[in-house]
Amino acid sequence: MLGETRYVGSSVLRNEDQRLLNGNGNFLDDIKISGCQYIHFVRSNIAHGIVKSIDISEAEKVAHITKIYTGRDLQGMLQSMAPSKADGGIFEEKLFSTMGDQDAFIRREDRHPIVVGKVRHVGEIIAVVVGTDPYVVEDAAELIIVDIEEIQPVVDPKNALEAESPKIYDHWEDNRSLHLHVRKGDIEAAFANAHTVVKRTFHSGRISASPIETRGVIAHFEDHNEKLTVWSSTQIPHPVRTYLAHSLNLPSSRIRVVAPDVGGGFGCKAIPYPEEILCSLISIQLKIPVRWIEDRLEHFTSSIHSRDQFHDIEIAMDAEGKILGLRDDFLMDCGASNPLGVVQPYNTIAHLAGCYEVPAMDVTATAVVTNKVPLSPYRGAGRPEAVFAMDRILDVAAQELGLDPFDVRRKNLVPSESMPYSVGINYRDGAPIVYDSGDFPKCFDTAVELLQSSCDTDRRRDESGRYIGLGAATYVEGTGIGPFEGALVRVDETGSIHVAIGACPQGQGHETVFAQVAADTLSVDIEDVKVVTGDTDAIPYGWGTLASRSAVVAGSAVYEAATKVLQKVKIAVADEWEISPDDLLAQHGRIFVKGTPAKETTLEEVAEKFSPGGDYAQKFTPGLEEQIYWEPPTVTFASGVHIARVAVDADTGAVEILTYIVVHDCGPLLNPQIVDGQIAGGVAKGIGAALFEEICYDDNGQPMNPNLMDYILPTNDTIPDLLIEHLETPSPLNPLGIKGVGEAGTIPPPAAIANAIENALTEIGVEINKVPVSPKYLLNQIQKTKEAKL
Amino acid sequence: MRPATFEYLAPKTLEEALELVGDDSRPLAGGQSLIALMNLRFATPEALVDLQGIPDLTRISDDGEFIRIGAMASQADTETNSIVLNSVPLVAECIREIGHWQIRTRGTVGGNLAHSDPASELPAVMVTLGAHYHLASKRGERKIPAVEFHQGAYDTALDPDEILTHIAVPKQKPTERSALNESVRAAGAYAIAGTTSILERNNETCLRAKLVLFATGSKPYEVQGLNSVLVGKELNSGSFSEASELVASQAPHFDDFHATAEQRKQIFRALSERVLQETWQKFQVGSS
Amino acid sequence: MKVNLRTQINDREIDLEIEPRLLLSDLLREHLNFTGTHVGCSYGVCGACTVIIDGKPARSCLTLAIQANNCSVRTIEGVAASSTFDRVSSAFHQEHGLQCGFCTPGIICSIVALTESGKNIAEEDIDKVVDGHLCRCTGYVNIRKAAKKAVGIYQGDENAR
Ligand SMILES: Cc1cc2nc3c(=O)[nH]c(=O)nc-3n(C[C@H](O)[C@H](O)[C@H](O)COP(=O)(O)OP(=O)(O)OC[C@H]3O[C@@H](n4cnc5c(N)ncnc54)[C@H](O)[C@@H]3O)c2cc1C
Ligand code: FES
Ligand code: FES
Repeated sequence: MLGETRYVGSSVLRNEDQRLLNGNGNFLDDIKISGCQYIHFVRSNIAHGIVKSIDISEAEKVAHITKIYTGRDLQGMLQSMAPSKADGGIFEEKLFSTMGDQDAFIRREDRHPIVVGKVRHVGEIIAVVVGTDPYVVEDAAELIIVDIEEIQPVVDPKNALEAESPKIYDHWEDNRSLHLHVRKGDIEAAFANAHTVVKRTFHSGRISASPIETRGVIAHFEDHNEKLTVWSSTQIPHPVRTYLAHSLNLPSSRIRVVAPDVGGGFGCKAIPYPEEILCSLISIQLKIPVRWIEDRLEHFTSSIHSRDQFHDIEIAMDAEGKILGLRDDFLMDCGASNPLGVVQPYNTIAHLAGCYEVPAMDVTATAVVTNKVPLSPYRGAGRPEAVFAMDRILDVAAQELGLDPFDVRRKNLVPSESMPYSVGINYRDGAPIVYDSGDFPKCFDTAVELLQSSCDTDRRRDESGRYIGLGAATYVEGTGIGPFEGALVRVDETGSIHVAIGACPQGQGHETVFAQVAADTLSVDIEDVKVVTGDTDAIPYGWGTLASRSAVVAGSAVYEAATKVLQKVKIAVADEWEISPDDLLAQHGRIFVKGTPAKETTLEEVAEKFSPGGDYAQKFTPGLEEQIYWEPPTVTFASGVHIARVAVDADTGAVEILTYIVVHDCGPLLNPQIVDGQIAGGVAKGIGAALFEEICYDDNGQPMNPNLMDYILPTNDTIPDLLIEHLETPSPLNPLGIKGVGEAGTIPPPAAIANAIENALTEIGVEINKVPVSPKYLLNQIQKTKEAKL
Repeated sequence: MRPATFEYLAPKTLEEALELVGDDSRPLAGGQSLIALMNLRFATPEALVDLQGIPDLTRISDDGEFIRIGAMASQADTETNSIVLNSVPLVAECIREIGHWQIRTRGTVGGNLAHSDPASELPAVMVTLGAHYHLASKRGERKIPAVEFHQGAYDTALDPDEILTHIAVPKQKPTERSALNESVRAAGAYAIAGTTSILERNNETCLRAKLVLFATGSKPYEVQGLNSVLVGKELNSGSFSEASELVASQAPHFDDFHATAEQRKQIFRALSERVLQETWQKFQVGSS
Repeated sequence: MKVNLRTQINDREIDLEIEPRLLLSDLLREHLNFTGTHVGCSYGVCGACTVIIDGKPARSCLTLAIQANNCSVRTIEGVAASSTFDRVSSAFHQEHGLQCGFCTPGIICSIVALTESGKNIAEEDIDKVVDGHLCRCTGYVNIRKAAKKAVGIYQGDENAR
């Protein structure tokens, strides 16, 4: 653990801000390489079919066009994008071996980066146009004639399960891509002994991550040294490098992947993409640098979507409102493929019980492939779906029992004296789930107090006649998942500290937070620390920033590496001064003997002596640097409670959020301002998922709203100021005691807001079974309820 | 997402411009709709005739009876123009609901009306206020009422060789009040449904009433038979609710991604009641 | 057929032969290397490409470069050299009004244009201006605070840690 800190725990202002504020950020499209040509992808506008012919003859004649490729041209040059350990696959074997259900399986498909034969969703790449002008490549693309013989598309995931459904992959037995089954306790007895059983279906809609910076790739193969450099707006430069190495058959040491400033990711930049492979291949083929910037339409039709789960959930309760058992059978529509396998569905399973004591549980997950954009985790990654199902069914059960939903929730929370609490099922990494830290009742009570002190909770209508309601939802989040993250810490001969990490940011403030950790560990001024991220040449192995993991895993790695550097310093100095290393203290860049501050040296001097040829280098390993790969034992659990207070206009279906409360426990806060920023951003996404965001497909598999006019992102006027409180119970699982926070804010808002809407409309008796609660959906529910009462 | 090629023409006078516009040679105003469509390659005109260099077209003036708004007056300039604020306050109120400031700085009044987006507020306001549009072509000039200009979704009475030059909006009388109300999902989003109204009052009784719906999927729709419900009466919440029944029975059938036809009817009804109420209230608080 | 563009961009006189279809956003980013102007949608919704044209904020993705003929255009790079900028940027820095920073230059341009408009600025004006920008990271809370602080109608949270 850190001793006295100067930086960790305080709101150090961000190192990255200056360049971003004055327009000097270095985002992907800002990188200019001379001779770089533009790539434009021709994509399928048909959801399901066989490509019969592609006529590029007119397009080829357009001036400034360098080359046009089709799938057939590139087929032989590429290995398929076989799922590898570079994505969710890492833990799969272990997970399946511990699941103990013979029926569980996963089928994953080798994807080809460009269509060869069968098209499986609108947006798949059919041809590639390369040219010297970004306008002209679009002109040429318009002249390409693609003939696709249509096959009946599979759009509704429920129909996908039917025997007569067309198949997405002809050699598969059916359209199921995955089946998982987890149980604990005596579920039959729980339901047999129940006072009340309620069952409902809940749907979390299909979402697009929509960072404001779309994806993009620049690939530059330099013939003279046979080195491929790829800049990609990605969350995972190291796994992308591994993918490229396999697909292109290149040694990974000849590939450098750089994630420059990245304008938001939220999961949609956390898988390797076909465009990274195609741009690289074309750069190698043509021996020129090439660049592709995703446009907003492409973002909606080729960057992964997320959520899209249908839960049939059933809960058994006793008369007092205690949970006896929980059954959930959910279906996930994973679109044309499921690049991260179990990650999203298993996260749902692992987080379903959440903060509650659930004695018996039986959960099955089925994923099906359909003719839509592939599904992969988006901020929250399976957890918002779990909380939406669980915290909604709790409210329905409370209603049924005539109890207050807040009381029922409070009653079922895992008591603080039960911590650490063993849930009785395994996590996605195969380790048993243990809530290592936290105080759920205190979290809940704090939220309720905040609510009571901030508004009139008895008010049911406002002056314009809108209905007012309250809703709560709670969550746990396994954070800081492995397998590992690396940090390299070096004190250079000028005394300045260089920190390189594998995790790379998309706005989370890595250059600040990890500088805080390094500065405090080494006891130096933060101005002397420079953090480098997102470059596979800066540190050989890495994973990426996703899954609320960087602070925990990379933070621990930085701490451990810096600690080892300091040890190295002390051992060498102690050796020279013939004292014990324990007698030495490091403070503000000075090393001195405890109690005798006069006897001192500086980090700078020590570093110089460690330079090859220097005094210390003779005796110890040269170079004052350490590289650490920190592997977490398993995840550490953050937790929290959200309460929403909403006003509902029952005539127009408009919902306004009046008050939004967050009480969160992510352990000690490394940088409170950054943590609150992460929460606010997360909540805004949760509000988006609760009220606005859904990608819809028509019966032909055509996306109906692939644009920012009809796919509505939350705007400033839709997000209220938040009331945020923190509990800081430390995690025992890492040296800093921290838990991740990146996704937390996104997890409970759909459930809390849906509960609040339902509560507001108690008088009418409306039930909310789906998010987003759009005016269309809400008015429909109100209408249905009214008709049912007639 | 970049436009296809076109020829760019920049006339300095209206006469020059009228020589240039035609079938596939389209006027360019603020570009806030046209360039977006061109970036998406939904529009690929052969030539653009940029009207921005014609100073006459941006003028806003008061001729005693009408406020004349040049087609090229920017929306942002119009909403803050003192003549507009004082004499046709509904126009200013309406423009503030269009998109964002950052759009309205370039978007023009004429471009908005010529585009005739069914979800747009401004055409409905012009119909409500009984504005006339002045069109010019080489063949001469003509003046047509707003209600005849807007013929459907993105469909107007403009011939390809015509340019909308200015709009004449009758000044609001001291005995009149007007208001606008719409249902949008988030700032800057297009309306799911909207209403705009004008009421004229003599002492405590209603002399004249007009209610127009927009986002009907087509042109603005004027509610029929309103006078028989409202005129000659002292208005109260009962009258507004009665009026809203009329709306429910008449609202055009329009089903889309954001609302079904039935839902839209219900929203139109609620908004109508509110907009009338709001208009009436403006008499009470003495605002315009 | 190419057209001649004469304009002032960040105090630099520009005289260029360009294609009429060249968007202002591309002129700035591709030809003049003012890459602080970002493109997030190309159809006017996101606001990342917002610049200041003749003192007013505007979308450079919905403006042809040639429409800026005889105008004065300021991008974030030009704004950053102005006296208003320090106050705005330090408010954003202090209030953590940016995360990834992709939306930020556009927002700063809008706020600076508002500040320089000479208007008496109320909270509602700030809210409306921020409404015209999408940010996917911050949830707007800190953008509002920063913008209000920048124009002097918010002092910062006294209780902030
Ligand atoms: C993000 C965003 C949000 C928006 N939100 C709204 C909204 O809420 N409500 C709303 O109403 N609008 C909205 N708009 C559209 C905006 O109001 C446009 O400015 C307007 O529709 C078009 O005006 P313009 O001057 O930009 O015209 P342009 O785009 O230049 O032209 C539009 C059409 O009109 C024709 N035209 C233009 N001027 C003339 C003329 N004088 N004579 C004949 N034909 C002409 C053009 O040829 C073209 O076909 C939004 C736009 C954006 C980008
Ligand atoms: S890029 Fe111009 S508004 Fe989005
Ligand atoms: S800070 Fe990332 S989009 Fe605004």
